[in-house]
Amino acid sequence: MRDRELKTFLRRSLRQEACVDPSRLEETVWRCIKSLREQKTQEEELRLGFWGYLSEVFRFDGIPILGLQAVSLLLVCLFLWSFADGPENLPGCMPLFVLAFLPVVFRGQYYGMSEMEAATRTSGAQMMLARLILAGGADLLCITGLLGVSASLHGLGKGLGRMLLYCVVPYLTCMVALLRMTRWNKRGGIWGSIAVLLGFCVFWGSLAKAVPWLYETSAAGIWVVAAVLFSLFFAREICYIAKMGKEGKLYGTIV
Amino acid sequence: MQDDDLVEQIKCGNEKAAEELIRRYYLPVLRYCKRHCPSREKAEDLTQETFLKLFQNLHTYRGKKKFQAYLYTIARHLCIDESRKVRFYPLENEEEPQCECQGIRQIEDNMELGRLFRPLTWEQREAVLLRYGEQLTFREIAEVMGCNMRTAQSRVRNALKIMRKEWENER
Repeated sequence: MRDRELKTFLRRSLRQEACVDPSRLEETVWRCIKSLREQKTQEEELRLGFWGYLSEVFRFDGIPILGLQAVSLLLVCLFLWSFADGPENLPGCMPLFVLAFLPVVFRGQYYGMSEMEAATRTSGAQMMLARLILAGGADLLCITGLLGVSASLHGLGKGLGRMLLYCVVPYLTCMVALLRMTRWNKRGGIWGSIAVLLGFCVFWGSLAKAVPWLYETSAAGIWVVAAVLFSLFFAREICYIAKMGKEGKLYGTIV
Repeated sequence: MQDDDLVEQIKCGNEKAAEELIRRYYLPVLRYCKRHCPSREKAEDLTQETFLKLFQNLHTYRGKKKFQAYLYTIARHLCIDESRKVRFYPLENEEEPQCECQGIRQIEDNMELGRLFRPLTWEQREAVLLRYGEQLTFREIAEVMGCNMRTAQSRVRNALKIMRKEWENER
């Protein structure tokens, strides 16, 4: 059999018209249209956008975050007012703001509710990102307040840039350390983070005494470089969380 | 009207377009299903299920002139599922009654076809069925069968080679 003949034979025999049962065809049409109508009546549930989600997280976590940050700010201000004699004491206080953020981050883990968090419609990474944004906003307010208090104590406008660096660099180091601890040490994340942050408190607090030249005007370059460096680390970590969030993966605190 | 235009209208809730699409493809899908299951009744059930599944998942279909491939993929999966189910054969010989419209030549063709198809693998048979029975392009066949276009082409080519040999042996 030649190729063309074989193909013609196949076309003819395979395309033989099957007998259509009109009643089955009508039934199919009717059932499909019924299904189409049912789909139309079922209203689509709109997906929650990120800002909507953020406001939902704010409903649950906003008050604890803002409250704890406010308490930290109050304590730090009292400390600066009573004991501190210069802006070099600012870095030692910054880890406290990050420490105040821990109860919210590790609440699920502490109460054994991590699995419930993991079973929600949003991923753990998205939840973490929303909390970081809320905490970041609160910290921005706190740092502004702290700078205001510090500036009024040590003279308005005098070395404000340096004071800003003294706040930002320790804050960024603590945030990077917290995020790394959360990611790496999932089981002991909460206690590890507390230990690391208290360690940072001691480190930044004693740095002024151990290396006084670091707080002179000529050392501002080191602070700028450190600020840029830790900003990059922090941005990289945030990008990683955002990527995990998009992929719907967990981040950290599951036990 | 093109298939994709009909699908767009169906997505907007146009029932007339839905009916037209079903009428356009009911016979080809039935023919395809009939080649995969022995009972005519089952083939009709599978055809109906194919269209129901199509309408339930139509929102996931993203145009680009691939409607036929999409539809045949659903039908193929349903046929595969059906072939995996445990079969219970009735005690009586339930031969499928021949359709009135089926002539002697058709029956002969079917017997000949059965003989030619026997040495083919399942994939080769499927590729030939989609190519010559349903007139799908190689790209569409590849999409339905979940392989690349070259594989689909080589399956059809090898099948033709085997069938030609079979035919010559018979002579």
